[in-house]
Amino acid sequence: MNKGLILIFLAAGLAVALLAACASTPAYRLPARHPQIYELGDRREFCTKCHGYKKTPVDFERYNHTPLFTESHRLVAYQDQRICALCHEQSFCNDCHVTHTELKPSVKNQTENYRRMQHRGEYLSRHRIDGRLDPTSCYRCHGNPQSSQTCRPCHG
Amino acid sequence: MKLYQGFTLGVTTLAAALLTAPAAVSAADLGITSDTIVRLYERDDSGGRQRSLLPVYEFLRLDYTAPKTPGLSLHAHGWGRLNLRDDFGNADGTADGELLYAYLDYLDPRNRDYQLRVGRQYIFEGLMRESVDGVYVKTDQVPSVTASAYAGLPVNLEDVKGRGGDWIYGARVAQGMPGRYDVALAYKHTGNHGSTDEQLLGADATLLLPANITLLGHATWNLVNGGFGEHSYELRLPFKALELRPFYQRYRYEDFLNRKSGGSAPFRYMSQFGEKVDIAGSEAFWYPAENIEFGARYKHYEYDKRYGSADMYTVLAAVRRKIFSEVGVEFGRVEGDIAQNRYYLGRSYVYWDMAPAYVTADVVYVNYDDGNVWSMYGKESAFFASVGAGRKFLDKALNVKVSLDYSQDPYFDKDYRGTLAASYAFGR
Repeated sequence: MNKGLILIFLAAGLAVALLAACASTPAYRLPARHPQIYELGDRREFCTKCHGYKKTPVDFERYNHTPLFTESHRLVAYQDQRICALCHEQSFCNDCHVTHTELKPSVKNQTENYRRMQHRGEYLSRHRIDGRLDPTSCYRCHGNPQSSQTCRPCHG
Repeated sequence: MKLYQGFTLGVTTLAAALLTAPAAVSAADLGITSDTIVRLYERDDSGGRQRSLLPVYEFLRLDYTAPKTPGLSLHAHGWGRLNLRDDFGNADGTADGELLYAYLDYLDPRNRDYQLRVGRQYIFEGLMRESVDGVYVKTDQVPSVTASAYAGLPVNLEDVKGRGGDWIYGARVAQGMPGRYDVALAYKHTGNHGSTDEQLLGADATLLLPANITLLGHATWNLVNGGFGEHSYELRLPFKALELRPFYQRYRYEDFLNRKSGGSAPFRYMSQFGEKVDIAGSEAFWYPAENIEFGARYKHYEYDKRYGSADMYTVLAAVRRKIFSEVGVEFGRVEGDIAQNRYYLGRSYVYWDMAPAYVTADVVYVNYDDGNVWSMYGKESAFFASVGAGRKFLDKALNVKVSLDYSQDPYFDKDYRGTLAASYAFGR
C-alpha cells in the first residue's frame, strides 16, 4: 500500500467525517476531572453505578471496570484516554506502561492486592510458558528497547 | 535518563513552577505525591557470593495548576533508586532512575475544545502507547469529530550515549455519534537512525447494536511489511446481572512484532518465523449482588507453525465488605500442547480495612505439569505468600505500609523479602 493511496484513503475518511459532523448537534465536553468521591481511582468501580446505563453523552457501561479489566482495557483506552484521565493520573498507568522501571507493579504496590496486577507472585518461572504461548501479551509492555531492560539479562 | 539527569531536570522543573507561581502557593494549586519504598532481601550470585540488598526507591510526582492562567498546568513524575548496601551484581549500578514524564498541559478553559501538551509524556491513543519528548494536540472543534496528532523523539529509542532515536509522529481522527457508533483512523511513523523503524495504519470502531449489545474492534496494518499485524474484536452481551464478552484476535508476528532495532530483542527473532496465531474465547461476569462478583475467561490459541493448540482458563470470585475490605479467590489452568507448557494456578487474597489501618494477605500457588525439565530446575511448583499492614495518618495524606514476602519456587529455595513504604500526598 503506497503513501499516495494512504493519503487518498485518509482524505476520504476525513471528508465523510466532516459531512457527518456538519449534520450533527454540538458535542458534549468531558470535564477536566471527575468529582472527588471517596477513593474513586483507587478502587475498581462501575461507572453505571451512579450514571446508569444510558449511552449519552458517554457510554458509561463501556468503562465499567470488570474483574479482568486490567487485561482487557486496551480497546477502550485506545479510543478515548481522556475518560481514563478523569480518575487516573498518568503515573497510575506508569505502574505497568513505562519505558524503564525496576519494580513490577505488584511489588511497587504490594499491599494493594485488590488490584489485579500483572506478574503477581513468582512470575519468572511462569513467564517461560506464558511467553511461549502468547508473546503478544508481553509485547505491549516489554516490546521496546527501554522497557525490555528487564528481559535483557537473560534474553540479550 | 541517568539519576542525576532526572534529578536535575526534576528540580529545575519544580523551581520553574514555583518561580512562576505566586509567593503563597496554595495546596489547591500544587500537588506533590511521594512514594518511598525500601526493600530488604538477599541474593546468591553465580560466583557464590551472598549479596545483602537494601535498595531504596523514590517515586515523585508533581502536579501544578497555574492560578493566573486557567487551563495551564505542569505535570511531572519520575523515580530514583539508591542501593544502601550491596549492588545488584549486574550493570544497574549503585543508583538509577528515570524521568517518566514532565509536560506542560493546556486545556482550553472555556469550552475544552482543544488541548496542547509539550514535554515528555505518555500517549495512549490509537496505535500509540509510548513515551515521547515532544508535542501532542487534540481538538474537538468540529462537532462529533476528534482529531489528535503528536510528534517528537521516542523515549524508548534513547541509547546510553545520548539520543539515538529519530522522529516519531502520528495522528488519529475519530468521528462518532454518542450512543450509536465511533470510528477512527490512525497513523504512526517511527524513525531510528535515519531509517524507518515502524510505520503503521490503524482503525478502531465501536458500534452499539440493538438489545444493548456493543461491538468493539481494532486492527493494525504494517505499512513496511504490507500485512495486518493485529485484528481484535469483542462483543459485549449484557443479560441483567450477567455479561458475556466473546472475542476474537488474530496476530501475524511479522507485522505485529517490530523486528527492527527499535523492537525488543526477545521478540525480534519471533517475527522471522512467519508465525500467525488465532485467539478466540470469551469472558463472563456475574454480579449477584453489588458487593459480590464472579468472573471467568476462556482463551483458545491456534498457531500456524510452531505449536499445537493451547487453552487458558480463569475463574475468580471476590466479595467486598463496606467498600474497602475485599476477599478473593482465583483458579487458573494453562493447557499448552505439551506437558512443559501446562500449569495450574491458585490464588487467594484478603484486604481488610480497619480504618485508619488495614491488613493484607496474599497466597499464590502454581503447579507445573512437568517441572522435570531444565527450565524449571527440577521443581514442579512455586509458592508465594505475602502479609502486609498499613496505617493512614494526617487525614489519609500519609500512608505507611509494611509487607513481608516468602517465595519457594524453581529459582529460589526460600526467599524472604521485606518492604517498607511510605506514601505522602501534599495538597490532597
